[in-house]
This record gives sequence, structure tokens and C-alpha cells, in this order.
Amino acid sequence: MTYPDFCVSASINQYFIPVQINVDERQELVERFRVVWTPNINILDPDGNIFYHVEGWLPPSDYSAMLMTAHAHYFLHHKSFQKAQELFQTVWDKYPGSEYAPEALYYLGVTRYKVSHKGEQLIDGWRTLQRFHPESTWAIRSSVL
Amino acid sequence: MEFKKATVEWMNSYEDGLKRAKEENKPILLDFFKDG
Repeated sequence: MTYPDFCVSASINQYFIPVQINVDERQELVERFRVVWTPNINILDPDGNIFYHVEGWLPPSDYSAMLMTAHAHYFLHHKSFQKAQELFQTVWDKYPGSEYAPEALYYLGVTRYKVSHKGEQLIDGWRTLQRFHPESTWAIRSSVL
Repeated sequence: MEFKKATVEWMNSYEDGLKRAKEENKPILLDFFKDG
């Protein structure tokens, strides 16, 4: 199981407000968040808006990468581009083989551009994505360049 | 020395979680589960 993993648990406690809901006890929340399968994770901002969603079990290393990616998206959506960039970079550095690495590389390019306002920062980031994860859907999305 | 806890400190109230998220300016991790 993922939650007994020390690193996962410590990260959740440190960076998020963890709320756990039994689907049999809060039907109105199940309907609001359109839960059809568990495990089902939604990352919300403090106003209750969803900005990241994961469904299904993840092993601890991928779960840690997911948490960091979700946290990076939190900063990205709140326009803290430097913080987002640092977290996406960390996902790539620590979890290069995880399923979240391609997404992190994609948005690493985006946040580097947002911080620097230089197009070559985006291009360089996406070239790394295309080099290391060419079969990923994120590489396909970056092929617009 | 600060010791990190090995278990997640789950809240069981969505509404209390929202309130705490606003107070601490943190995102919420909302985990839906089913017994059995």
C-alpha cells in the first residue's frame, strides 16, 4: 500500500491538507466530484476548485512524483512560476523514470518560459522531453514546435 | 530535532478541510475511498 510509506505520508502531511472521504457516507460529494472509481484523488485549492485529479493505485515512488507534480501545478495555477519550475525540475531530477516525468518536463519548459519570457527556454525544455520520453503523449503535445 | 510522522493525519470532514486550507494557504488532497 502507498500510504504507510514514510516519504509519501510525510509529504502529504507537510504540503497538503489531507481529507479522506468514504464514498458510502457523503453521496453529495461523490456526485459533486463525479467519483465512479476508487482510489480517487482530487487536489483542490483552498476555494475548493479542482486543479489535479488521479484515479487508481500508484506505487510509492510514482505517488511521490504525483504529489510533487500536483504541488507544482498548484503553484503554476496561482502564477508562482518560479516555485512551480523548481518542483517540476525536482520531479525530473528525482523520478526520471516515473509516469509523471514527461508531464514534469513539459511544464518545466512552460514554467521556464513563464519565468524568463524567452522562447528558447520553452524549446530547450521540450527538446529534453522529446529526447527522453519520445513516446509519451506529452512529447506529442510538444511536437507543435 | 523535528520528527516527521509516518502516518497521514487525515481529516474526515470536507468542510473542515476547506477551512483549514484557507487558514494555512495549502492545497487539499481529497481522497475518496470505499471500504472492502
